[in-house]
Amino acid sequence: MAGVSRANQQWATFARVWYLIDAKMQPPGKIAAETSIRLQGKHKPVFHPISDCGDHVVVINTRHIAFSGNKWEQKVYSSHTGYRHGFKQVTAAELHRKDQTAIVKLAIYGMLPKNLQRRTLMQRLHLFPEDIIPEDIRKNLVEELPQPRLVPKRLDEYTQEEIDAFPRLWIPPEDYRMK
Amino acid sequence: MAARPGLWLAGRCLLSGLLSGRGWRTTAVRGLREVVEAKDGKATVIEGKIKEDINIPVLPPNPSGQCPICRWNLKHKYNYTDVLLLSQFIRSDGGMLPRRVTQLCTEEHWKITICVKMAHRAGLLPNHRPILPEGKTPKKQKFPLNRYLTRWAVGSVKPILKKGLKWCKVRMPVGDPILKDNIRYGNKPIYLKH
Amino acid sequence: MTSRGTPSRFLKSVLQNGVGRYVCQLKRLTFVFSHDALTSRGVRDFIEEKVVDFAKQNPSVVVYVTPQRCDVPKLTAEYLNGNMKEEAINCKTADEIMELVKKMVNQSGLDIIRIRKSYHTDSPSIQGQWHPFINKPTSLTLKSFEKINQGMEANP
Repeated sequence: MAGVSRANQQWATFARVWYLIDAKMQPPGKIAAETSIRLQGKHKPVFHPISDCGDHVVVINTRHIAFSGNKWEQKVYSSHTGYRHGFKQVTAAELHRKDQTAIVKLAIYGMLPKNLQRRTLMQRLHLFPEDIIPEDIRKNLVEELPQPRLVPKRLDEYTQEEIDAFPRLWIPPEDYRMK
Repeated sequence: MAARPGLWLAGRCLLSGLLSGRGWRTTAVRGLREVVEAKDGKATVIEGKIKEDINIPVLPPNPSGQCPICRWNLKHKYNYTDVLLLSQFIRSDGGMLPRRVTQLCTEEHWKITICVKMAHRAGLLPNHRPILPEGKTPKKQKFPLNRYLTRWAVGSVKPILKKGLKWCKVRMPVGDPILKDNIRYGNKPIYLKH
Repeated sequence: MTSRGTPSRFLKSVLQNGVGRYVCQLKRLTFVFSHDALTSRGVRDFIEEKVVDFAKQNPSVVVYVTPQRCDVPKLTAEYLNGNMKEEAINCKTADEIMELVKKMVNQSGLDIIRIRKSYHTDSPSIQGQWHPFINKPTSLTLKSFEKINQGMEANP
C-alpha cells in the first residue's frame, strides 16, 4: 500500500465502468437481463443496496434485435395516455418501426427494481439503434460483454470447403430431375 | 430430346442396372441429371446430362437404417440451425424434395419440413427463394425483422391484445413441440410457450 | 419494526483481551440483602456456602456483602471500564445466583446493544480493496471495439 493511498483506492473501488453490448440478432429479454444486473451493480462483490454502485451500459445495434417465435406480431405493448379512450396497444413490430430503441428500453426498464432508483439507473443506460456512437461515449468504454445468444451461421456464410466436408446423407436417383 | 445417357455407372451403389439393349434405361439408377440446352444454328439440343459426382460418398455409420437420418444416426440430433443438413433435402427454390425420392421416413420428413420452415423464417437459407417470373424482382423488405424459432407463418398470426388473467394467460408459442425429443445438453427444461 | 434507530456498535473486545493474556474485567461485586426477608433466602444460602470459595478462586474480584433492610436483594457488578450493572436476585436459589455471578465475571463490561455485524477487523484487507479491474486481463486497456469502428468507417 505504499504507492496508492487509501483515498485513491476507495475511488477506484466505486469507479463506474462502461460496458458495451452488441444487440445484433439477440433477444431483447436476454440483453435486458445482462444489462439490468450491470446497471444495479449486482455483479460487484462490494454490492450493497444502499451504495449507488451501478455501472454504465452502452447497447448498440438495437435496431437488429431478434425475437423468437412469432413475437413480432403477437407481443403487444400497452399504454394509456390518461385521457378518455386513451388506451393504446401496439404490436412489437409497429413499436420497433416507430422507435428502434424502445423495445430494449422497455425490457430493461421492466427488469430494474421498482423504486425511486429506477429513473437514475435508466440514465446510465445508453441505447443506439446502429453501431455508430458518439466519440465521448466511445472513449469511456472499457469492456465488451459477450452476446447471450449464439447466432447461427447462414448457408451463404459457409465456405465451399465446409460444405464439401459435410457428408452427403443421400444420393438422388439418376432419373430424378433436380429443380 | 434426351440423348442416350451414359452407360457407365459410378461404382458407388445400389442398382447396377441391368440394361436393355436399346439403351433406354427404365430402372432407377443413382445419379443426378442436369438439363443442358445447346443451340447449334437452327437445331436446339436439350440434353439430360448426368452430373458426375466428384465426392466419393463416405459410408454411413449405420448402413442398415431405413432412412438417411437413421443411416447416419442423426435422429433427434438436428435443429433448424443445421443448414448444411437441411439444404440437402430442399429444392433450389426452398421447397422440400418429395419423400419418395429422399426415402425419409414420415416422421423425419415432417421434422425436416418444420426445421426448413423455421430456417427460412430465420433467414438462414437466403439463396433458396422461389423463382419469380421474368421481369419481376423480389420484393425488397423495407424493414426486415430478425426472428428465430418462428413456428407460424408470419402473416397468419394476430396480436394477443387480451393477455388473459394471471392464471390462464395466452402464451406465445416458440419453436415446435415436434423437436422436443431432441438431445439437449444441460438440465434446462424445454420452454415452448413464452 | 427495524432496529436501525437503536444504539449499536461494532464487535470488539476491550484492548484485545484474551489475545495473549486475559484480564478479568469484573472488579467489584456487591451483594445487598436482608437478614430476615424471605426473598433474600437464596442470597443468604449463597453467602453461607459458596461466596468464600468464589472469592478464593477469583482473587482479582472484590466481594462486598452488605446486609441491610430491603425487599429486593441486589447484586451490583462494577467493571474495569467504569460500567455498573445491577441485577435483582430476589427469590433466586443459591445455584441460580452462582450462575449469574459466573456470567458477570465473564462479561467485558461493555454495553449490551445491537452489534452491527457479527464480524469485525481493524485491518480490513492485506491485499487491498476490490476495484473493477481486479482479476481482469490487461488486454482490456488496449481493446479497440471493432464492432463500432466498422460502423464509423462505413458512415463517417
